[in-house]
Amino acid sequence: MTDLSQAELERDEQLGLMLREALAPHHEAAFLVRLRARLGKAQRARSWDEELARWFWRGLAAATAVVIMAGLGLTDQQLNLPDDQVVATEASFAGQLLQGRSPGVEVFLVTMRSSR
Amino acid sequence: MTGIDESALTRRAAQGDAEAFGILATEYAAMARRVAYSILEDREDADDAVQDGMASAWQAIGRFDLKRSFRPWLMSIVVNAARDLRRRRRVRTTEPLETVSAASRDDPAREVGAIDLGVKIKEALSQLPERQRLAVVLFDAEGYPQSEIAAMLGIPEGTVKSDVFHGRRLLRKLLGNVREEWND
Repeated sequence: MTDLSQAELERDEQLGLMLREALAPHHEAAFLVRLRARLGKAQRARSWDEELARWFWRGLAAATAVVIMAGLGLTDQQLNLPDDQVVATEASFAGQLLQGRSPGVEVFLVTMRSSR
Repeated sequence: MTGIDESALTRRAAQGDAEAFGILATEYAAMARRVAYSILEDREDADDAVQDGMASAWQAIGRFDLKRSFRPWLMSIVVNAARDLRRRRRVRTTEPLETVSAASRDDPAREVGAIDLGVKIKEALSQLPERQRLAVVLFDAEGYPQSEIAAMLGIPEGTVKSDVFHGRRLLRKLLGNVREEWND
């Protein structure tokens, strides 16, 4: 077991000073110039990131709105059909299946609507 | 401790004020370089790591919790950047880091007494395992409380205490009479 005395829990000022001096960095002014330049680059990258992030959410909201509106438009166009046309389409859906063909999605939607 | 209003500058920096962040970065640059050096044992690598860390901190400052203290947050990012760089360097280099004395690469003027003393300290420090080295530097040289060091390094406070204890013991043994030379 390690016995940690009170002295070990306090800072060793002399050791600290020795370490600070031994590890003291060189060419401080030159380093700070390089650091500022690097932060300037990071600033520009940050601005672009933020701008792109803003546009991403706006774009996503706009795309969602377009998809919803297009969906509503399609539904109205495809589903607001006269009843006789619905029956005809339903018949043609079943007919197409019986004939071994694959009916299109619009035929399927109309059939679904008439089943409700 | 320092002549800057850290919390006001941090608040401004978090709102995107580049000048405020620049002042904070300048204030803590020397400390960050010492801490990065104690991990990488190479001045150029340490400087690269500090720049990487500071740039990461600047990009993440918007998410910084203003209730926390800025300095340990920044240092933990610098520590991570230094460790990250060391991992990348290990992959690239064919020669193990331990075989090259860090001090011998950095200071050509070794014959000068003061530098020689510094070299002895750095060589002694390089004999410590990284975590002990970091714990001693952060506690004794940089003055962080052990609880903050624990949070910074992601280890229990008891481990930090033990690392400081063992690190100092080995350091004192390795340094021998350097302390007396230092006092002269």
